[in-house]
Amino acid sequence: MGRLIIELLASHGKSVERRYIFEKGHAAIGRSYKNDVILDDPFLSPEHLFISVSDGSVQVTDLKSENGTKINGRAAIKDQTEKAASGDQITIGRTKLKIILPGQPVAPALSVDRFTTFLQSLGRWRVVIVFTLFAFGLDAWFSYLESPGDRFWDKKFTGLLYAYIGGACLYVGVVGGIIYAKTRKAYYKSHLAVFNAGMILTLAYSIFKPFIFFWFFNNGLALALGAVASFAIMLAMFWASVRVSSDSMQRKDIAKLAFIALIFTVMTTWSAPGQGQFSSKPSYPAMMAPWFQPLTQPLPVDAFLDESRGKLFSQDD
Amino acid sequence: MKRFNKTAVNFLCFTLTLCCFTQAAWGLTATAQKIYGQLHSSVYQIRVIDVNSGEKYVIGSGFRFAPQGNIATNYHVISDAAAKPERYRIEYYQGSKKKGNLTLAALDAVHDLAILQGADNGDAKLVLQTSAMAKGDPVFPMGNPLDLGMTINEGIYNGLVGDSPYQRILLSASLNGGMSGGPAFNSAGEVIGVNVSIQGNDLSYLVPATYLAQLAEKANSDKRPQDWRQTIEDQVLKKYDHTIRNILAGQWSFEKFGSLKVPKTISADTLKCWGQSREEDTSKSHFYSYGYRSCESGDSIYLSSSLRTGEIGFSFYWLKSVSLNPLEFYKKYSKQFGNANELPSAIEKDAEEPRCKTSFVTMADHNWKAAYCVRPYKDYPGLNDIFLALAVLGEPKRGHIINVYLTGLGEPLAGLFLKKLLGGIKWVD
Repeated sequence: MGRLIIELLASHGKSVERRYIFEKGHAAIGRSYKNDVILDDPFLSPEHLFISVSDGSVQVTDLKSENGTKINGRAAIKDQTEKAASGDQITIGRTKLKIILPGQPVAPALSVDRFTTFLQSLGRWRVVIVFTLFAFGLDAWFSYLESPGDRFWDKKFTGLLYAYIGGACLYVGVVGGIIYAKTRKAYYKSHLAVFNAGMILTLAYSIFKPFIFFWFFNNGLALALGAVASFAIMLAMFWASVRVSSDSMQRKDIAKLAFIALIFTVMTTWSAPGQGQFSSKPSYPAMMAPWFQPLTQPLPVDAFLDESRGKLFSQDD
Repeated sequence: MKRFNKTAVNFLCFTLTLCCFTQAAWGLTATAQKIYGQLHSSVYQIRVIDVNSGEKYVIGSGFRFAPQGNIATNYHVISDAAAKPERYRIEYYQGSKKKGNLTLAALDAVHDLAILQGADNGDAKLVLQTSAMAKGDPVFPMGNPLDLGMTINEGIYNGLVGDSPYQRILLSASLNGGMSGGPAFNSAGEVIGVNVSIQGNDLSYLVPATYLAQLAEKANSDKRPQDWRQTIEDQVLKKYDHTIRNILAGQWSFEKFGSLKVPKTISADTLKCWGQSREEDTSKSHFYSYGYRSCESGDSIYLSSSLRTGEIGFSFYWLKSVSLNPLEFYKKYSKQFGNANELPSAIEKDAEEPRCKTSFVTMADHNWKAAYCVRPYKDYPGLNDIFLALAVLGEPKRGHIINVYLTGLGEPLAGLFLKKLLGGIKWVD
């Protein structure tokens, strides 16, 4: 006899929903109230399964169940006893269990992750409210700078507020909903924090943008750079939102998020007005920035005209 | 924002085929009766027939003139048939009776003239006038307005407008759609010009008969088959050459505008200038003040129903702000610089998408951001629309933008004009 631990796993994913510990070294599992582990799964028999430990080895016995018992995904056994080891996964009906013995190795302790701690602190209501007010305030201030004067309060402020609330609800609702479907927990407050951070990032980008685009003379490149920036902000937001719900993220998970962000970026870039349609109006990178001057002495305008003429005319006459 | 209300101020000519119906206020005089009675048999309705439907696509007027007995009309009446002879044919009618088919013998797109040839040259009664006219002389335009039947009208000669050899006769008379290509007679019954376009109330234009005589003579001496597109292209470029050399040779005067000294008048005949300004007022969402001056050539050359060309224009624009911070001011300034609204638009059928080159340049002792764009014509390889935009760099809350456009030309003409125009600009403040 030895200690037996049974972990009840979430229906999707690998997270543990409940853990049962039996010092006596055995446990009966099924729908009947006589069992040690009573489960509501309608695909289980009343007396379905018996697990016991002796001398460090595990015996799994199916008690003539209707649907049988699978160990590590192998063919189901019925009315049989089979050997299992610590860490094996057992599927009965729609329920997944894991058998653990005390000697099962665990990963060494992680050092405290500052980012995780920070994200968790964002989950507190007080922090969330203050942060949201700050982010919206910043958004409103930027908008005021764009169109200063009393008219801002009359005409623009309410619209801006609704837009912010709408955007936040959309982001928190969609991302929270998806994460809830996967982990049974939504982390709404954290997503709101991430949305706020995304807004602040976007506003910060709008400050730097003219100073970067000032140097661009190619429309395609400027368009690509804009797309990269919005992709980066979107990916950062998705990453942070998913990161709060899982302690570790693998490359594969990040690739998935990047794929979604990429689709959004491509959609928004390609659906921008005028894209893909004939335009008889010239479009050229026109962004300028205050105080900025070219680094080297530019061409005199006449030389520029001569140089452009060679490159732009289909036929020199 | 800075564009003028084009319909209000522009000096646009509307071709008669497009115009609408107005009431003529003159009664017929004895002279008009006499002219109509003697000469109406040489004036026809011209129909451009869509071959597939067999129905008329465009209508206009035309007349048989001496000595060859060919039929004259406007280029804009038969432009579709010239461009696509496989899709359109030209017929001429007297009353509702078809007289025959016509083929294109010569055209002059710049003066808006065409000479058509039929199987039978008939009796050419109409003589082109040679003597000079005086302001106030009566003129009798004839044509078939709106397909209602042949009419005669009476108007007053008001001299020549424009720059020789590209002048038009200004006629105070109300012409209507369908009369395009019809003759206008003096009291002696000689053709003084060809009805071509209207503008405003009873302001009409005629192509002087001299240009028709020149075209007829040229067509008579050179009977080689012509590539009409090449002919049109050459004519447009020839006019440009004339216009630009005139502008370059003209007396330029300069004046201060914002921080710049810019050309004020460069060719009063060719370019008309307009201006406007606005004060900053945040209560009206005007976040910067501006001043705007633009000069445009009113006249354009008709190439097809969707394409007009031969226009020149440039504008100067300063803007400054008190209420905006430099960053926000520059966002609006950049947007204004990138808005290339001054260049007349074109449709996909006629032109390629513009290609641009952008760079920093120096001009008038300052650094500018410049964009130079070229929009080639699909059917006329030597013709392009050209657009240049310049915006000065550096000052945190003040900016200057210069836009220049020329439609339907090539190099080196565009370069000559741009260099002269920009070379005169100085920084004074």
